[in-house]
Amino acid sequence: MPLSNELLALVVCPDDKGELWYIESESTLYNPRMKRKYRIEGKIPILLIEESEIVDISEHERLSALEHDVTGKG
Amino acid sequence: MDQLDKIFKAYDVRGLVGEQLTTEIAEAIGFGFATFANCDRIVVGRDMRPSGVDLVRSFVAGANRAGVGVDDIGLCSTDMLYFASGRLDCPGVTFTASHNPAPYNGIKMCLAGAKPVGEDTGLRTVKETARKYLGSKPAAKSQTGANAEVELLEEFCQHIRSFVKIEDLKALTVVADTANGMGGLVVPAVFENLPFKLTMLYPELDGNFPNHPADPIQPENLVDLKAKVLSTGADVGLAFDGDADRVFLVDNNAAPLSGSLTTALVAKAMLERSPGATVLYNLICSKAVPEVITEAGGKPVMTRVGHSFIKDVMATEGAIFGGEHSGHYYFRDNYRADSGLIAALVVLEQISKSNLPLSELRKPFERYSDSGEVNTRVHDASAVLDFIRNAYLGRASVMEIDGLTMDFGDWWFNVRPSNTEPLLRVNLEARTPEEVAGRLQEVLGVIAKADSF
Repeated sequence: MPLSNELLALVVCPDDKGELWYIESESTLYNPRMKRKYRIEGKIPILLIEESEIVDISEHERLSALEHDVTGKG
Repeated sequence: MDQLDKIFKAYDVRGLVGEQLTTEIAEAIGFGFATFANCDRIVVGRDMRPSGVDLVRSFVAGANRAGVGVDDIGLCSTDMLYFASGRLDCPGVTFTASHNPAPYNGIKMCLAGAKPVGEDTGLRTVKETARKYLGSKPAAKSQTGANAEVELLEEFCQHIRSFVKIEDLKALTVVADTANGMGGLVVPAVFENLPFKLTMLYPELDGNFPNHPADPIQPENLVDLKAKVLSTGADVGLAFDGDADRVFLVDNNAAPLSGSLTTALVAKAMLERSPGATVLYNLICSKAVPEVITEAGGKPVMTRVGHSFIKDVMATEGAIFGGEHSGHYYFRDNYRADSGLIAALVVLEQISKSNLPLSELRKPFERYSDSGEVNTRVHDASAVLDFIRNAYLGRASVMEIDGLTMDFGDWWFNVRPSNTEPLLRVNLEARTPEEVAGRLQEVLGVIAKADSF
């Protein structure tokens, strides 16, 4: 279930407060600067630092190659 | 033109310490910036210039008077300040005069997320508020938070290292000449957990620059680095400027790489990582840069010169990387800020993966010859540009995104006015050094004629 554009315009990374990538195909929000990945459950992004995952550069490369929208434009 | 007008430049503040840039003025700018940034906290750093200690103290006092608390990261490179502004999500300033001589200091400012502040995007407001403050100090506002010292060096180093795959790196021998600038702090710290063998030249932080000026774009400042690379048989030499945001490389034969060449090398590496991505290059870069980007499956986008333009276009185009001929390299995942250290690591990773010496790795990227930047003094820059445009009209395609670019197919030149002096800057590229020499004489002749009216 995709996130709404209204929600995407508002959300940023709770850690550095910067934009996130919304990777719809993986139901993921991703911060490419800190390599921090947040999962989305149903229509609810779990934007908790302690529940996020820091990925390695191989996973970063894989995610970078996927189509994404940029959040936080609101 | 008063004292403040003299030190507020297009992108930053710069002046002679004690004469133009005093502690009183630093305090006023602290108040002005804190008021403009309209935030709870500011992160502040400084380079190794001795004058920085007092200037920072005064700046902090001014910011406090505006009600804003300060996180002091102490000694830092300019790319570390941008990182701090991004990671802490607050406006930042660092006291540095980059590569300028010891009697100078200056202030670089950014907004939260390392967003640029230029003349039209805040600097003028900061200046006006500072001017009023110098006239009469307003009552102090109650402060939103205490001042604190913040240690960020290790986090910064981890961030820089996250741009490469450590397991792909080989035990290359690297010489880094940090010219007594801030590279002396950050370069060894970043290299600490990497497999490279690092030799440092002039790592002592000394704002008097006792060995050579910290400006690696000038060939005479690369002499010691080149000698050390040859005498130690090193794989790569790195030359950083005073605040360590710019880097220039020399290869294993001590031959320097231009900013264009480094841009092309890094662009190719970034595109291997993110296929199809957009890469920016400024209009002074060699034509080889967009060619390499296209061949690597990327989308090249040309920009004006200057970091605020590059950062803006990076955001709107979603570009992964941008490079300038001047040795500035910008990365999307670095808050779109520039970092010479990231660029250097990416090139070292490319050398490691290729199993080629840099002298070989560079060859496919060097396709043309260029003049470098040639400055020529004129009376009326815009009249000269009009004359040149007419002189070549019909023979070249014309582009005016920054000064005047005329492209003749097998050679091109750009002429753009300096922001601060009555100068025209000429850059020219052609197939061979002989063609460059001939065409440059021709263009300089046209400029001289245009300026004689």
